[in-house]
Amino acid sequence: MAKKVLIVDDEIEQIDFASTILEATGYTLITAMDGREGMKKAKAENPDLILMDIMMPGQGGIGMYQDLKHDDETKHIPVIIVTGITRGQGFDDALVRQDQDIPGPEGYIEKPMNPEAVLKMVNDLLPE
Amino acid sequence: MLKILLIDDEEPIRKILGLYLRSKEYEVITAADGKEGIGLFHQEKPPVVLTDIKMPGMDGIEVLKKVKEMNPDTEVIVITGHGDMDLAIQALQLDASDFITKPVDNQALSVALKRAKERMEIRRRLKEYTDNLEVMVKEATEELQKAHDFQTNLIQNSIDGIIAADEDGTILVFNQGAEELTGYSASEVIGKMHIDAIYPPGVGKTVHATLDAEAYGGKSRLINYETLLISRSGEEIPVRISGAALFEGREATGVVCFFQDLREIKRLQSELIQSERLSAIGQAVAGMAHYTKNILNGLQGGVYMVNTSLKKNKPDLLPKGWAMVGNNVGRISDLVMNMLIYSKEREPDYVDCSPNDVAEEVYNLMHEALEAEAAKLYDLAKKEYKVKLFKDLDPSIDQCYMDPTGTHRCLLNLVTNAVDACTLESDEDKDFAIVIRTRKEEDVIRFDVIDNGSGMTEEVQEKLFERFFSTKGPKGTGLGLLVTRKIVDEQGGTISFESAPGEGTTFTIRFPCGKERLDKMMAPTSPAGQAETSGS
Repeated sequence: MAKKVLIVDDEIEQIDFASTILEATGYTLITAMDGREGMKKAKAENPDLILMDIMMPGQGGIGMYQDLKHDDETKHIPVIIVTGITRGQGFDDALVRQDQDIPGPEGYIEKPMNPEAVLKMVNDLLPE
Repeated sequence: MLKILLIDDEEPIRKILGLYLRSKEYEVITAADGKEGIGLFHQEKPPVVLTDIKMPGMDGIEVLKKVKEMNPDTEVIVITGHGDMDLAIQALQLDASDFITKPVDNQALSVALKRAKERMEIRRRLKEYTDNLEVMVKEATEELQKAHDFQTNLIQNSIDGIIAADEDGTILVFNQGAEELTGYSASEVIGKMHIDAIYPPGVGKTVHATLDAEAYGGKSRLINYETLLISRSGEEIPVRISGAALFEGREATGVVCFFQDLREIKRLQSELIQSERLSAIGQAVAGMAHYTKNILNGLQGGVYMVNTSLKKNKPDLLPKGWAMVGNNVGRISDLVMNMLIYSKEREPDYVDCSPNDVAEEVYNLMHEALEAEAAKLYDLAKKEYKVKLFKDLDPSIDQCYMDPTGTHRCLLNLVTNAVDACTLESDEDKDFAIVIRTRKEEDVIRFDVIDNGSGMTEEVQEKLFERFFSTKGPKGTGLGLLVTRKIVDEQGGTISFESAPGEGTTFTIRFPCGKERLDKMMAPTSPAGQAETSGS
């Protein structure tokens, strides 16, 4: 059965970009444009992986990550975080985890996204 | 123990008197004649001499004379024979202290000695007092000298330059600080130079006028007035002056001024500004880098999609990818435009134009952008795009003189912010609306950009016009409002806002555009304006 990847980003362009990268791999793609919608789809569709932006309106990526990891239905789903902020410049695991006793995300992708790096990270996290 | 020299040629008398005096606790030395007595006096320096007058050889009168010669303070009591009043009087005239008659009565001797002792005591006190007086005068003089030296030192060694001049302006005091400050030596200015010569031409007059006026500390006083001095070598030196006019009674006698060298302060200030500028540049560069990374990501995405479309023969990806490239090229040119406007001095380009046309242009541009965004959402089978743009233009607004390019940029920035306030900060399902409104207020054109987006907290409102402050993370540069305000300032306009969290924000800019603006535009080149400038 084809693996499902949920892409969460408030920018359509970014969704298009990520979709184009992952389309060729045969994964089934689901998209959401904010944290609330993303959480809803994560619960309803039970994706195998979530690729999400950290800067989003409303509760944002950090809020959604908290929800995901505190929900028994979704906490097992690996998460890759996409960020325009360089890691180490005030942005790290602790910020994403909000100092909670939850695991950090499985991977980080920095913008501008390198398609090969994204593909490799996703493939590594979703072995056949 | 008081020492008494007893001179008498009769040995029994010496003996009896000696015994008596010793019993009264006097130290007694005796001599048998005048010559011996004088020798002893010279040697022992007794304060009291008791001498018989009638003696062979040197008599008592001679002894008295010699003793008084040697020490006028000596108490000399003469012993006269009964009825020798003439001799007694002569002795008293020669400054003898007292006389007693033979045969010596102990009581009379006691009284004479007591009086002698009293006189000695008075003399001692008088001397002590005189001596003290001298010490006191000496001390007071020293004290005065010290105070004077202290004041001279204070003036001389003050770090501030101190210059005083008489009522004609001739310099009278010129301390070391003033020497260091101006490069003149005290000897070449005191009594020789006019105080105005330490200022650049014309400045001295202004300083005196300011001293006489109410400003800077009141009449006849000057407090912390900043101006320039001119040094001996012609260097202009920034100084802070405090000074006062000097009076004796009601008559003006001169002026004293204290000069604080501001060169170091100015240097530190410019260093501070420099370092603040550097840190602001750092902040700006970091913000810009994040923002640019976001745009770069879009460009990379667009290029990747176009490539994929071509390589894998997927024609539907081509327009999407190409639109993405175009969109991000637009964003980067917008950024560069704002950076340029912010970074350079720019003269507003006033032309005869219609404010409503400018507003209309911005409306059309943003409307198109929002429609395009909405179209993409339709593509993804999404709900309708949630932000709607409206215009409300005052038909009574005519042509007027303003800078259409700058105004366009202001409105574009404000509407972009309004869109972001509706989309970035909230994920509510709410009907968001933005209105571009124009109104005429006498000689002022007012533009409002009204949104019902997220609104701003007080904290955000306070930081609104701070350099490179953005609530949009890497999706903003913090330049938009800065640029907007810069343009508004350049045109002599005002910018204000009202905002409530959750309810929305209204930004208002007002540009003067009436006759006043026309006059202002004409002013710098008109002959009247020039005459006024040169006359003042």
